[in-house]
Amino acid sequence: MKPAVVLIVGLGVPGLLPALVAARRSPAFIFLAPLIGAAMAAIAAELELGVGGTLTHWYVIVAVTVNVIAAVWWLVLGRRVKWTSLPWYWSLATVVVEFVALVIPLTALRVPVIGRDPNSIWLTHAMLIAGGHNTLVAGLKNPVYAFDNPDYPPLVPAASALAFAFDGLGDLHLSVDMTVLLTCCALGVLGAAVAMAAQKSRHVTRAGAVVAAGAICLVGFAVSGKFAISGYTDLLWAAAAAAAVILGLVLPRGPQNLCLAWICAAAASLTKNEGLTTALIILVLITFRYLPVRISWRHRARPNLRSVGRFALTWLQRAAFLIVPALPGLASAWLARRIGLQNAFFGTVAPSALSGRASATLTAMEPYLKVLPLAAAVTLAGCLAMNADRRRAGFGNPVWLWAGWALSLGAIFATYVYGTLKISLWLANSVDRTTIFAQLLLYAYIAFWLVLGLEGALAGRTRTVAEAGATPADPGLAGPPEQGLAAPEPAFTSMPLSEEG
Amino acid sequence: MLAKQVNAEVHLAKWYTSPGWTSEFTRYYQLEECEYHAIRSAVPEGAAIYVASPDHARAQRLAELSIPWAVPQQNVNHADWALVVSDANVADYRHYLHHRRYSYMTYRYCPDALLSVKNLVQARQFAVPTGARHGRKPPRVGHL
Repeated sequence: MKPAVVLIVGLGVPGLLPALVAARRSPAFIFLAPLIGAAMAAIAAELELGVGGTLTHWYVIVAVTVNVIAAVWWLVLGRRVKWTSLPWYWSLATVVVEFVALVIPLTALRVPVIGRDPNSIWLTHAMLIAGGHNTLVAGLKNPVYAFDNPDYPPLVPAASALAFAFDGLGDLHLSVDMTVLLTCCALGVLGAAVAMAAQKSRHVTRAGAVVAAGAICLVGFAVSGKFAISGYTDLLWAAAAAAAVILGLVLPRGPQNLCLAWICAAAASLTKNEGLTTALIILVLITFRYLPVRISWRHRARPNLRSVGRFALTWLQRAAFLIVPALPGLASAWLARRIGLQNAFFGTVAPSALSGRASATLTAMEPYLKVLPLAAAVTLAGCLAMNADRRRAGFGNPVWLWAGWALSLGAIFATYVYGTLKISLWLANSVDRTTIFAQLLLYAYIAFWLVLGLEGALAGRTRTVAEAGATPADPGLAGPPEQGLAAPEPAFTSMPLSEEG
Repeated sequence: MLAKQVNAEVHLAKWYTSPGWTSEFTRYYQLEECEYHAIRSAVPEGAAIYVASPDHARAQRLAELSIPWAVPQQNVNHADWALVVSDANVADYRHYLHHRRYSYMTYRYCPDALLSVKNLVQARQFAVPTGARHGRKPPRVGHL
């Protein structure tokens, strides 16, 4: 009960206003608030490390600043922008279903399980952060803790340290509880993102999307196995990154989806080093999806000052799209480098043959990617059968998602190949965790296509009924045309909103 | 495939809450908490400690549990206190200590563990240089 109180009071309440401004009536709102709170705690931990002071002192300053910015943005700009969301009762239904789904894995928290890494890495970092600036700097630089990955980002240990600040350092399992609850929040956002695919659909499709949202929450725990409830953070960053992909690269372009995707990517980047790499890849793809580079083969007039200025402004805008959400994660990596922290993965030991490492990595990853053929087949079938519907509804081209998936997995693959740890031991200890993102994203994408397929099937049935001249029994099925896969509202008027091929 | 994974998760949650797993994890967690509190009662706050154990992972864990109470040192010469943790039923535990030439006060703080603590500052003050009796060159200051 204590961790839930800390999650709600310590992280949820300070993150409530920013979450409300970003998510409005979306079912992601309730799950996003603690994630924003944890991200603010991580920024506070970075300030503690870089500047001095204690976590609680910086957390109050960061939380007040973020809330003031959110309030000002809402008063000045936010009310003018019209954001489409699910009706409130559908959002409520989604939240309830996700809560019920998440209660099943959470029952395992009755057992005080602590995994090896959560003990050595996350609990150690949490206690260092709780100890204040001097303890944190001395501890991270202490060679005794060299194997505890001192360069890892601070989201999870900062949240745990905040829990220790509330409750004292007596109950060590509090850190595991906080990690698992934050993982549930990230999965809740992912489930909500899947449900948001049906926000302009018929009631039956929405009901299907709500079920899919609940299923995704359970699937996240299933693919992670014992790691999800013993305090490992791999599912947390994987769920946050997968939510960022669905919101930023799959759902229609719009300020709400962009905002939510940025927050999720920032949370992933602050959780683990793999999360930072993946978040950067996702943010680059989101930038180019929202601000595409257009190559014209037509003869152009000689460049004048105005066209050069416009060109520079566009690239400046792209840079801002990438840097603003990535800044907290990049700051963490920069601080670690500045202090001289290094993890044990890249040392000076000469690596064994790259081809041997590559083949070992492929062999180890293969059993964890069994969902890949199914996801590829579903995508292909969806593109063949429902491509026109997808484009009309403004959903992203599958190439974006598959590019994000392949690049992030490629980065992890390259880490294994070019790292210097003994490959067999390294893979045996970590490949089941580093592939969670790849699996979870594909399952979420399958769920998305199922929702789209359900809507397509209902639309086909409605057309058949209408052609036969009969009155449909359920008005929800036949709904007005704008309830179906209607064209999205223009999100950014300054943005090119051409149909994605 | 989605349904299969959902079913797998339900079974996993049941498996975790089974009596066997519950008792195993509870025992491990209670030992961790016991060691955590033992350090705090064995050495003063801010002490420079050196942690050793026949099991390297266990020594590492004890060093981690000492945060932020004590400051673990990599080199015993820089430490003021030495701690050795071991299973209560390790047969060669005494042999391990003799090998290290330490004379410890041994406490059984926790049901399944022995935590031995030595004040190295006092030991250095009262230690007879090992080579002095035989006319050899005495060791450098701080050597045990």
